[in-house]
Amino acid sequence: MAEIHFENVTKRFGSVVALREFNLTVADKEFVTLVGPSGCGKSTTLNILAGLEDPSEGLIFIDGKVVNEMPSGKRDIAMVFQSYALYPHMSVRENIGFGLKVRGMTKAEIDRRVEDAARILGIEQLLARRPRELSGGQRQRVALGRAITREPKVFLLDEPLSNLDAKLRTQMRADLKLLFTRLGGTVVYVTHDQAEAMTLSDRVVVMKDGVVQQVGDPLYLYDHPDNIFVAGFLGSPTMNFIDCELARQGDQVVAMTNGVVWPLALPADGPLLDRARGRAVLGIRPEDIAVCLPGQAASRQAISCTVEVVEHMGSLNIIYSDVQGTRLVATTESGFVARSGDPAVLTLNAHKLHIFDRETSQNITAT
Amino acid sequence: MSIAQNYRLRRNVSTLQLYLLIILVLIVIAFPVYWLISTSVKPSIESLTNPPTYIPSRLVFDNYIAVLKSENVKFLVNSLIVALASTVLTSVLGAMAAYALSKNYIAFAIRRGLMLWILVTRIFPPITTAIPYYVIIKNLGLADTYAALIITYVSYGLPFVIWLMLGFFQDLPADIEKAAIVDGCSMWQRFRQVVLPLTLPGLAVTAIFAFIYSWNEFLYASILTSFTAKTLPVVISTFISDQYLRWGEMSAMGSMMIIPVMIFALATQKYLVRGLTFGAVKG
Repeated sequence: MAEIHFENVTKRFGSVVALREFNLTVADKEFVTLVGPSGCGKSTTLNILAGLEDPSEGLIFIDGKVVNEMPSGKRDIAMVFQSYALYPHMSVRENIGFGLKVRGMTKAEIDRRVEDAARILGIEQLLARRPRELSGGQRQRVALGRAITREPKVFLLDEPLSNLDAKLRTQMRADLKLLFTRLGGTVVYVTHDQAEAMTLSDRVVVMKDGVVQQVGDPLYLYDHPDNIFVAGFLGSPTMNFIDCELARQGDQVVAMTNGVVWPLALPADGPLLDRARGRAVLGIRPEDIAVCLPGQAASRQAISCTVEVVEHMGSLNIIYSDVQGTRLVATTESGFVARSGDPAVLTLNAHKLHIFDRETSQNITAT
Repeated sequence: MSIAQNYRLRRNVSTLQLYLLIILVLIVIAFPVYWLISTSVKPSIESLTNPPTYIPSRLVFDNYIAVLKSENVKFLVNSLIVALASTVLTSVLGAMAAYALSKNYIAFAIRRGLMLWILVTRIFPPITTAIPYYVIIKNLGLADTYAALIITYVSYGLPFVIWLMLGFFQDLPADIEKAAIVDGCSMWQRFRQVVLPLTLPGLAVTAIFAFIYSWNEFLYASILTSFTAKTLPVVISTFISDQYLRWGEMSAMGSMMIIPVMIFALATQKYLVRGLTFGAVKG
């Protein structure tokens, strides 16, 4: 049982506020990811939880107990660092067992636990080596071994995969998910990679400039972003944003930009028009745009465009299209054939549109 | 001549030039050492000839016998005790002080002030403080003791060790220490089991300098000791008097004085190279 709770935690470095009134409860055995661009305060949050930094204000609870004054070693946490931070002068065996040795465990018990961890991670044959003799992926596993061998209440992972190459990263991501499902510990994971956040977590905390933007189930956040930042941060390729004017056309709302009228299929009698005060940002994910060749479009709401670039990803194509000076990115199945300069038509999925307030960046679609 | 041959020739010529330059520099550096050793084994008359005798006509070891048979062995032991004790103390205390100063436990402004004052003690030429220093040591009843010299050398060596080790500690990746903190290490455990083993090359470098300094130091040794704690540099100076200048014995003793420093440097050479380039390459 290890529930983590942050209560109004603020951290200042001189005049810079790295974290502002951070509130979060992580349930026992929950996998929560803090995600955001660099400098958003996610690593600071983790360091505060680990006891490596003191908060300027606010309380941190682990298991219902305030741990602000508790030294790091007593918090029963284990941490995996982005740089792995293995002890270069120790063998893999000593690295993994060091935390246990410091805690005064018997040699037999240390050996047993180290070997267990090594077996789980598949690094038994590396135990006698030094960190410098290991590949990046192997070092990563040793760093994980050092964490799991302690059998802590809470695992903290600070961008553990960002030093690996793309292929290994995808593989380790799946391994991590499997590992922590099996171990069943509480995990706080920090990353700037939205794909890791989406795939690994039970819940995602999106942060920017030290402020929490939105917390929730990854798929919910993907479909219902609270603001432009969350909408743009999650998903790859990223969501299209179009500055537009909202207007009434018959009983429906339309968006207008550069003389193009974008039918939105939203009823004009809702509060949307009032809320947007005419000006808004239209957001649509690339997979919610259907691209066809002229003449194939079934819908009368299709918009004509020119294909600029086609990226063949193998499983799908990414189409960069130009709609009278506005660039829209769409994904199509790999069978779609088009060349740069070809005319095409786009149809927006009206149910997946997001309207954001241009001044506050807030999502105002639903209300 | 083909382009490849031409290129090879040019490369060989420039390599040759490089070696010639290295040899020239080596001669300049090594000649005094050669002169010292050769003088120590020359027949005494040859050390005064003009033009100088560059190569001894025969090898004579009388000077060594003269130097070793007297009570000089005791002074050699003195020198070793003082130099080793000061080296150990300077390195240990200096490393600990530098570690404390390299961390955020003390506010930056205070740290900066402390570090500046530590350096200030090295700014004065030693001679300026020699007289008051002698009076203090005498009043403490430490004149002509090992303690007097060891205290002096430690206090003079500390600023150097602190400033040098500070760089090594600051170069240590912060994450490694954070990992040790999370692993439950106290500050002392962290220093002993993680930080120190990783900065050992740096410590070896500083230890060599500390050793060389206390081994060679003459001014304070001549002021603070008279007989019991006298060290070799002071003994060597006694070969110069108003009546005679014993070049041969002086050189013999000088040659012997080089040996411990060379052994010490060779023993730590492995660390020396790593230490001087520490932090240059990540890995």
